[in-house]
Amino acid sequence: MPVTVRFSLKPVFINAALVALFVCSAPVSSASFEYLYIEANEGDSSGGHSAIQFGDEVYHYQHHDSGLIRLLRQDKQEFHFLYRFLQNRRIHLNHVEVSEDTFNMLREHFKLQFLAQDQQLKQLNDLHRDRVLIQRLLHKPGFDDSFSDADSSMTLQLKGVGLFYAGQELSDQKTGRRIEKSISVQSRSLHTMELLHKKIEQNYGQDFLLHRREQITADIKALKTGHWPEVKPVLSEDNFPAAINSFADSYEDYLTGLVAIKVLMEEQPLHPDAFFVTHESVTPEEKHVLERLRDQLIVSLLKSVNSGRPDWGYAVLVNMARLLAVDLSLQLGQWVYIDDFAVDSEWISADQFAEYAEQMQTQINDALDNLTRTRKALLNGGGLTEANYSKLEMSANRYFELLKGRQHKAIRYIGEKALPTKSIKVPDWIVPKLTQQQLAKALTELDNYETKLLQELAEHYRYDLITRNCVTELFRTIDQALLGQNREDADQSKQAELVMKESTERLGGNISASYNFVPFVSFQSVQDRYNVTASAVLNSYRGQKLAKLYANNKGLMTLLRESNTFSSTLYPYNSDDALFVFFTDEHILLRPFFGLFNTVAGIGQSVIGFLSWPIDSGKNLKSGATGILMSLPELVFFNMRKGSYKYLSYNQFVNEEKSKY
Amino acid sequence: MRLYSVSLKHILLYPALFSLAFVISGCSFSYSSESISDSTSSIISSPSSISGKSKKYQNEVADYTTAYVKSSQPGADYTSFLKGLSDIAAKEGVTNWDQDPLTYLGIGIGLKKANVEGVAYETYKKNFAGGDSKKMENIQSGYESAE
Repeated sequence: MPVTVRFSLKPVFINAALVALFVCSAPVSSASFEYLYIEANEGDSSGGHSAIQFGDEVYHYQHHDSGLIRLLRQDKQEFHFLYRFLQNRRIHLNHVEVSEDTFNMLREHFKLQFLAQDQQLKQLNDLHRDRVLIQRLLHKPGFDDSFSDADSSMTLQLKGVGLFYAGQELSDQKTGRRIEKSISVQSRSLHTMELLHKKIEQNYGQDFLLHRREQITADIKALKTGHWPEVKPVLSEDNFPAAINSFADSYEDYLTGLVAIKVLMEEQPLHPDAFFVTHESVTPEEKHVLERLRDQLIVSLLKSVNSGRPDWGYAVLVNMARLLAVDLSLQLGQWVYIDDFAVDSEWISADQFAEYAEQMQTQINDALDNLTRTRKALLNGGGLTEANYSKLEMSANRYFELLKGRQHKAIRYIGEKALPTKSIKVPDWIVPKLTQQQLAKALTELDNYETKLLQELAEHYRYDLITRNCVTELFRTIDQALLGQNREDADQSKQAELVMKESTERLGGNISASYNFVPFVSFQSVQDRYNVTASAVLNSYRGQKLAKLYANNKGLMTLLRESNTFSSTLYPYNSDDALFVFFTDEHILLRPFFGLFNTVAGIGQSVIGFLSWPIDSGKNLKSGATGILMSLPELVFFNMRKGSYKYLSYNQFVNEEKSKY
Repeated sequence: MRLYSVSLKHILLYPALFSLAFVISGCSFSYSSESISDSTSSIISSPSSISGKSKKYQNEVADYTTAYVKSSQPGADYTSFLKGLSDIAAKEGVTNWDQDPLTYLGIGIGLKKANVEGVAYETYKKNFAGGDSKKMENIQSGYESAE
């Protein structure tokens, strides 16, 4: 009989070897999973959160702004960095021993459900995009002023086209002005475009591009709206919906293909905003690698331009942009990269950058470290892959973007993509030849189908605080996995018996989703009923720093200094947190007393916020009200206020987790 | 004494009720269609994760293929399947997934995991590979490796 090591729910920090088992990147036993309870803090999941960890993957449910609850899958380290470091919450963990068969069954079921739901919601999004396109075609600009073009511009986008054209350029056909602006650098790429054009003609014939353009034009004109079944879509939590081709997707793909051909035929240079030239020299070794990469990109381009995949146009645009960047790097002897930030990237202002100067410097150091390592990785044998080049591009984008902050400029902090996306709105070019009647009929069909789909999605995934939340759905998914094939065969009453039997045999006991909707209660239930062989508490960022500090000095002055946000050396005030005075996660007995201070601080901020409403649009008032609400639970011993961090180093997190064990 | 009790009620009971409401209001909240990992992808773009990326990509393709074929027919239109592959590849920084053997190995593994056999398997293999013999070979290799 295995020895069971049990810990109570109170924070007991486990020994290094045990933590290593859970956190280090080394693979864990294939016959165990972890049930996680994430402590409460201000912000989202203020009542705590739950998740399940299979090896390197964490699955958890999140309440989405659509009102639905979504299953998410995250890399283990990303998850721990986000919750334990940025959100500064402790994670309690139950290690559940199961047979390999049970482990695989549960993991596969969670995976399948994640993929199925993703696809179901994608279909909903496709329907929205199709609706916008049909409405746009029904109400052509100038024909009907009641139609707003704003939604259309936001929703219908040509991915990758912004690498070569600005928003209005495709419609206006005015490109001369900006070519002149950057002629010194871009004229160098003309030769590459000519060469590429010639190679395509050599491979596929002189009129290949012309014929391809005519074909696509004909295809667009013949494009039909999607066919939405009249029957109710049959969804279940682990079933892919039947594949329906998106009308908008097809239209965008065709147009992107047309733009790719236009770029090739007109030998269009890169848009000036689509790339940046660095002062980093290309070393002789890197030069060889870049020459090989250039050859590889030409081969890929020749294949992409004649590919049968629907989005070949996007692949051609990305490959062309990268080819030009690599070629420019070789010509200039300095690294040139494509800008891979998305159009809707999150910015931070120059003032914010200055305010967090120390953290930003750490981010810059991390980014430089990553860039150096990715450059080296590219030189290794077998290192020259498209995925590795994408990684290099991302690292370079991050580093050089952060550097701009030092020159007192606003920077894009989040929004890089592994592939450049640079989208522009769909231009008014060729449209499908559909009559008003056909479009109106299609819109009605779409409406009916969408209504049914929405009803069914709500039936399966509508969030409910008590009956369908992030905890209940974890247990429900486990139950479904245990039922397996018997789900359809057995009736309702027998299903409950089956689940009970399977759960007891495989997990050690059964947990009812109905009575375990509170995160910490569910954690206790798992500890009591499943085959839990060990439990642990993984410390939060501040908790770790505090433990280090106390190891050296646990004098009264240190305790007092670190007990509050004003004098703490470990917590710089984060404007995302509502104002509070005392951290309440350490001293349980003092918690109501500290909570009272925090409540008063919240009231104070609310009063000031009321007065400053005209200036800050109620931001301070909202923050103050949040502060009051978040502090009230502390009056009855519930810990809420821990503080959170905005700009911590991911590299530091990874290194600290490694170095400790 | 009574006054004291009323005060105590105000001090403890109401906050307790508020507390309960907060304590049970679990669950992370997402404001957009993007997941948390999307919002932190820049920060965590550490090169340490380069190794193992290929395997991860292949597994993602395999899982997606399994899920897809379980709900479709061999003669179905494959455009949406191919678009799904593009999305998976894009997350790994790959545009030319249709020229990458890992994609087809992953498809083969996925077909095996979905227990597709016989004529149905041959139909899927041919359609997913677009009739390309090299790609079909890779699908076959993936299929056999998963046995």
